Amino acid sequence: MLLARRSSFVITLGFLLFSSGCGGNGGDSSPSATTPQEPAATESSTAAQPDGSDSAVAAARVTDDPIEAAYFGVYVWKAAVEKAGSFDIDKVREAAYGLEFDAPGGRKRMHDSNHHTYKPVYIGEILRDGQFKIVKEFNDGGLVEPDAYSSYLHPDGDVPSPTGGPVAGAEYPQPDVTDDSVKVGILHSLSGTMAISETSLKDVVSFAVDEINKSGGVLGRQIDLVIEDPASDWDLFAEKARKMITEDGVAVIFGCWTSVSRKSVLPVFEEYNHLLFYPVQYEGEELSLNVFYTAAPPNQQLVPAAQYMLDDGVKKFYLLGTDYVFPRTANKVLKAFLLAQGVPETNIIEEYTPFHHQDYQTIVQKVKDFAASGDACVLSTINGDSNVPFYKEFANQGLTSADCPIMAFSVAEDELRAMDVPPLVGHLACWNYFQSIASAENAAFVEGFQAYCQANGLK
Amino acid sequence: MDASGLLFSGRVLTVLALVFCSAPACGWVLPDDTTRETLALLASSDEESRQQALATLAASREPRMLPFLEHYSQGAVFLWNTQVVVCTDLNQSPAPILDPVTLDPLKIDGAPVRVDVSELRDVAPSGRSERRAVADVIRQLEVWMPDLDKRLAAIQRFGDSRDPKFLDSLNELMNSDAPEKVIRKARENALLIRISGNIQDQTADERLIAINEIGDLCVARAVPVLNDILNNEKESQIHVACRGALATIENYQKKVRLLQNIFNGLSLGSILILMALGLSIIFGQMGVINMAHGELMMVGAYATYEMQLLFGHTPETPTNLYYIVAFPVSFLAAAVVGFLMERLVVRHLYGRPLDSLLATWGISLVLIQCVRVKYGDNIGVNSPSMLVGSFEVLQDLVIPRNRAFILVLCGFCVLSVHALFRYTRAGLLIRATVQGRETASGHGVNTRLIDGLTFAVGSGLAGIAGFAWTTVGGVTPDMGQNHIVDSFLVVVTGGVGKLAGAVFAGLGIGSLNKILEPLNFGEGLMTMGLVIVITSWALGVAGSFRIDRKLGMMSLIPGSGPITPVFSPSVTPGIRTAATFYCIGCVSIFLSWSGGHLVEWFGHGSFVTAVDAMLTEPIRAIWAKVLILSCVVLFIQWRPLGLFPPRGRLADA
Repeated sequence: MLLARRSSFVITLGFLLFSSGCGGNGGDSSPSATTPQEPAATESSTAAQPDGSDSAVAAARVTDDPIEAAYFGVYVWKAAVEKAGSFDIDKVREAAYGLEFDAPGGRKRMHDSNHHTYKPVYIGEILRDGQFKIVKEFNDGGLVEPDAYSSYLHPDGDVPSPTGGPVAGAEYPQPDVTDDSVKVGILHSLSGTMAISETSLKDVVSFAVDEINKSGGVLGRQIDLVIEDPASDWDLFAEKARKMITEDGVAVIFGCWTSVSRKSVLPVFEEYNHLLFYPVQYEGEELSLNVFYTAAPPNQQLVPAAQYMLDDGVKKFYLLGTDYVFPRTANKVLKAFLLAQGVPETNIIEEYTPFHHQDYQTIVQKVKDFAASGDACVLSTINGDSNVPFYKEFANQGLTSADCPIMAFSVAEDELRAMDVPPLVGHLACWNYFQSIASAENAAFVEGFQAYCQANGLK
Repeated sequence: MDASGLLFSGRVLTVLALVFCSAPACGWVLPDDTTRETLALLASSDEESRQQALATLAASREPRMLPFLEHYSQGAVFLWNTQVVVCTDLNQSPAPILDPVTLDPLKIDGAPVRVDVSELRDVAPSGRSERRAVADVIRQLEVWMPDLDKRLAAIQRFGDSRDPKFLDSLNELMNSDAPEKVIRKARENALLIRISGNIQDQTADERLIAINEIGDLCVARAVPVLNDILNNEKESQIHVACRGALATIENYQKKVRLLQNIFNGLSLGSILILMALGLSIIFGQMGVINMAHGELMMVGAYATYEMQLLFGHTPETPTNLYYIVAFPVSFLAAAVVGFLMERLVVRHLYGRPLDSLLATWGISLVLIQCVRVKYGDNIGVNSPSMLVGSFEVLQDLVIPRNRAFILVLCGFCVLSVHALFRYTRAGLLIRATVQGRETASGHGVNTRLIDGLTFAVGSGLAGIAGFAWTTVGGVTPDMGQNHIVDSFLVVVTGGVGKLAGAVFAGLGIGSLNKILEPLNFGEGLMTMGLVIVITSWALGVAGSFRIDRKLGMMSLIPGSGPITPVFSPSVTPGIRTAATFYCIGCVSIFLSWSGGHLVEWFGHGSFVTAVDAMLTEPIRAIWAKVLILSCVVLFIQWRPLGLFPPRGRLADA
């Protein structure tokens, strides 16, 4: 039958084209007939080359603020365990207070009591190659002290006392430590809307653990990783955390990105008096004795960023975020700060989109109307996969950083890998670490991480 | 502005004035060495010499300085020994360096120089104010370059700055022999500067004339300026003039915004249709609840990504051909995956819709994980350069290129599918198989192959949707999960098994969404209310208005006798559908335009003032979706006019 023959021809053709399409970066190194003379596109056998010339696949892995915070979190825990000489949760907690350590981005210190980290604050401008140029550093003549509770939401200084911690007489599940091994949990979404950001944290914690194991482990014990995928499902976070603590007997858990996931696991950690290292900047207003926050609360990110825009002559602020606890609270802090600085309420617009929101036409038009006066900016707390369509629409409607800069709190080097960067040059981000920080330690960290990802086929 | 800033702008003015007195209306070409000397100043640590260098460049009208300044503002300019050079590829070490003026590779003794990256010292502008100054210089050059788009954009920036230092430049443009568009734009921006009150020795009359003029031009960008003036000048002629100008402008802007909303709706609708088109074949015709539809879309998107790698397309070195090749490739890639799915799994589950639902969901997870293992979570598809940016079709009406492209692509796909089913032998065989498998088989049709082929076509269309999506949003392994619900929404609303239904449902949902989103709750609820009234009226639930269901609401219109046959179901249900949606659309559009006034009219009662705060709260993206879905639920409950009855295997079962 003619039809049958024709269709099978079409299908064979499809196979041919598809497989030659995959040949660009797979193991198939036979040059296809249609390959142009573009060296970057025809290079194959990626794993064999240790020098990072993984150019056929997306650009080499990058590091960013949460990646650095997740990385040094592992070392803070290690140092605390060694200082305490024990894996006991309460002893490790005590030992971590005031601990000073060298992170890739420079020397940092854990707070003496509030479970956060002393850090520098940087403002960066997006460059064409997806890196940031540091245009401003806030350091208070040292490191910026973290405030768990924003002074703009608690002007009288009346802050709640810390939650969690051990209850006298209660029995808690103990870490399952043998003479030569200890278990450590990783709780980051490897699928779902947050995978785009969280997968890298799983990679970097694995990298840190790998380094520690190679250099003799913690208290002479090798670290066994327990990795769970809570799939961007907030309830699943709590379930997986419970499982790791009670069944696997982990000594500590590194995990969570979104605040809603942290709020979801918090009761579990407090119930079992266990320990979470949380590596992502967040909205503050929380202090649990069962969590160490290695990234920034509002006064180490939100407030300096808004201050920078004010200093730059911006008078109108469009607060745009994804609809969950971090953007809502962050914008509350930002709004309180801006009002305190004399910005009239009519010059502040607050708007939220759901997770996964993909159609930013109307919003970008509103921004455009708002920015027609030429002195407006967007303070963006958009999270997850909505950032790509937002920035694309923003650029396609002809808005640039000169018309209306976007100051982003959840877009770092890692997120830029998935975007068309050239139209975004000059937009801003505020973080405590950028990959472009020039220091030997940082260079070694970046190189080590890239080599680890390459060797293990992590993309 | 601080003292040095004043000094600086003063100097620029003098330089500009000198240059403009004698400048020809096109680019100048200066001796290369003079230019290089100027550029060397940019590397100076002294801020004033840097400013001076920029001022000289601004006045130069040297076309070759444009690419250099772009490199400069993007941090690709470096100091090497004592020479200013351009280096665009820092990933290579030793890196090739370019001459700043000619942008040819820098040669010493005829051989291109390559230097170690550590020898290059960064000379990018520092901070936003200097970056702005560079951008200003780029614009001052661009207004004299032949590229019309860039010219217009540059002129626009002059106006945005409201800085009188640009006024001379604009005046000269207005009197030059530039294209009419340029002259109009220059006039508009010169007016913006004139009304701003930033000019020191300006009389009130001059300003008054400018305000009246800008009102006549209907410039949206003048609104915030005019409002400011309105607040500052309470009781003067200027105040009155501002009011008049504002009214004229706002009237025009309302119309433009209406058009913009219609386009946004069409664009969203076309994306929805494109995603749902394949599903309407697989789900509608074949009765398979294909949960892997979104993943077939993802396959198409990744096929596009593979083509980008194959052709080596990057924003720096655009190879737009990749996107053209990706069109058939994404179709074929998804079609092959779909064909295999049908052959290996779905074939065994025909007539068991719930089993196939589970099975295809399983397949979708497998596909996601396979792609995640191969590509990771974070890849970027760079749009072809022809689909980046936008065109301004009317003053202030901006149509992004990628969205216009998808609109056209969607139309093309719908027509192709229609033609395939209606006019080709393959389409005939597919319809025969769908309608009566045994009968078709009895007539010698290879129904198994036809099933596979149908599934492959549906899958291929999903691939095309993925291909188009890369220009709008991100590409991740689980991108399909974001779209599967929307696809089903469109197909089910449009009546399972009806292509026309999917098209109308997609457009309807898209338009309604984009009409609702910019409104506030009062207007939104009224719009929704009217939509419901119309549909229920059409259905005949309005008691005494009970109408002939077959003829729909047309039977209510006096004198419609002669034209009712057109709307009778025996002719084409599609036209009836179109008529209904047209009416709904018209009313919604009318409301979105006059909605504000409606709230005012109703706003005199005490009850309304009580809920006023709630009603004037903007709807925004989240609530638009909620309202749409409630509307859809109402719609599928009643299916007014008997619109889009479900068809195909699933409905028969």
